[in-house]
Amino acid sequence: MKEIDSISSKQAQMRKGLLGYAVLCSIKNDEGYAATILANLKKADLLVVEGTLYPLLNRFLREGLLQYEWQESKSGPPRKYYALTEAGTATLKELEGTWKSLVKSMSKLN
Amino acid sequence: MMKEVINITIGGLVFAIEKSAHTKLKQYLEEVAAHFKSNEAGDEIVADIESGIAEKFKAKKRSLTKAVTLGDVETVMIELGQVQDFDDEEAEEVNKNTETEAHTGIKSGETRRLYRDKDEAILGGVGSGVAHYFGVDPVIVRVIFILLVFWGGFGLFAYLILWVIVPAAKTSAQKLSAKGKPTNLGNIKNYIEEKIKTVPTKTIGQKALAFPVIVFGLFVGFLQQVWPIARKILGAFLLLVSSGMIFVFSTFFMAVFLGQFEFMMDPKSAEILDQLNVSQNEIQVMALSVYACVILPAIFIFLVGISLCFQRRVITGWLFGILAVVWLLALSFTVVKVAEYVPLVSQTVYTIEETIKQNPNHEFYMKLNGEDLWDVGLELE
Repeated sequence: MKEIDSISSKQAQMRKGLLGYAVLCSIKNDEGYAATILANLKKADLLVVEGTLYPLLNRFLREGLLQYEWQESKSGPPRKYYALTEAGTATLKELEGTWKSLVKSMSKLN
Repeated sequence: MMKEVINITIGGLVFAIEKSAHTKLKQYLEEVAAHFKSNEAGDEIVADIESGIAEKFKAKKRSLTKAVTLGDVETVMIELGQVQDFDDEEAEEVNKNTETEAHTGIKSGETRRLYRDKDEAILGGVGSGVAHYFGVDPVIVRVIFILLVFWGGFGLFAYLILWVIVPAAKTSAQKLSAKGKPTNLGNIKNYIEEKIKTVPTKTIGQKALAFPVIVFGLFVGFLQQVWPIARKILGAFLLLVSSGMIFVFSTFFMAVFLGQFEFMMDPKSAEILDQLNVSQNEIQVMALSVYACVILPAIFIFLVGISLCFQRRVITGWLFGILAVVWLLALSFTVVKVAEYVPLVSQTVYTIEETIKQNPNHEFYMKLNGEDLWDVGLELE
């Protein structure tokens, strides 16, 4: 049981580490609505707890990686739609490079 | 079993909710709010989370007529997670950094350093290292190096120098630092905006007093932010100028050294040199000495350029010492030699002029008149 705990904690750590990159990817490739991002992350099995997303989005906002605009929705109050800023796109590109070199490094170790 | 229901608005939507569910939800949201209280954007995050929760209720077709149950709230809480799990590690690290920044006033580990990247190397990893440093594709840097090889061999020269002076990234920390956060104009903008935001609101009098301090702080901050870029531009300029100097000086030196210098002499100087009757050997020694006088400062400027461009101290004490000593020796040798030649040259010039004056039909006169506008005879009158 303890072993399983230790494994899952390592897996959780890895997912957490990738979360920021995954969120930026999702916003680049899909609509930047929180529920959509959550759905994409769940599909990719990358999310530990949903609550992590909101402070993360807010931090990216303050770091100037993201910007948002309010858009009317048919069923309910306006929604926040996030989009990558120029700095966000640049950061995502950097992270893509990092990810590629990580994959390369890991396949060397394997 | 009969349940008491109340109406709430959350995330801009109205729901009916069972009282027990309401108690639980309220408690949860209070925890969330307390957690983000220290966060400057805490309210916004809490509002975002509330919108998210409302979205979930709506997805379950809850409304004013179909009340949110305790089970719904529990599901939402499991999906969203425990409040203490909300923060990602990066945020914690960022907080730590801001704390140390507040203490020291120094931004930690932001600048890139130049390392050779042996992982992606073709030769010595200089190309990929420089590419990481400037955040461009290594292929571009390699092509530039190759093009520069045809520019007086400068590319090869620069490559070899960088190979020697730039260390290879060995540890993973160095590898990261080689690809670290670049300094760009966006950073400056963010920095200034942050500075402006952090100025607390005060009375008009306090504001007026604080204004010069703020302006000065912004100015210093701006310089701090601009310097990395200004440094690179200045460094690149120095590199360009000095490599041009090295190229030109070396070309002239080679020409003189190999005795192929007639093309750059006017007839008068050629005639004087001819009359002086100095040996090729003597000319070579003189050329070498003059070359050393001019090339060493050019190399020095080149090294300064590298230091500025790549934030790396390449001019060590002993290197500077050797350069300075060799330069001083060459300079004094040149001065002594020139002092030796001056009377000889003036003597020769005098002889030529006298010969022409006494014999206007002398071959020098004819030759010079025929070949060039320079007219010794006229000049004398």
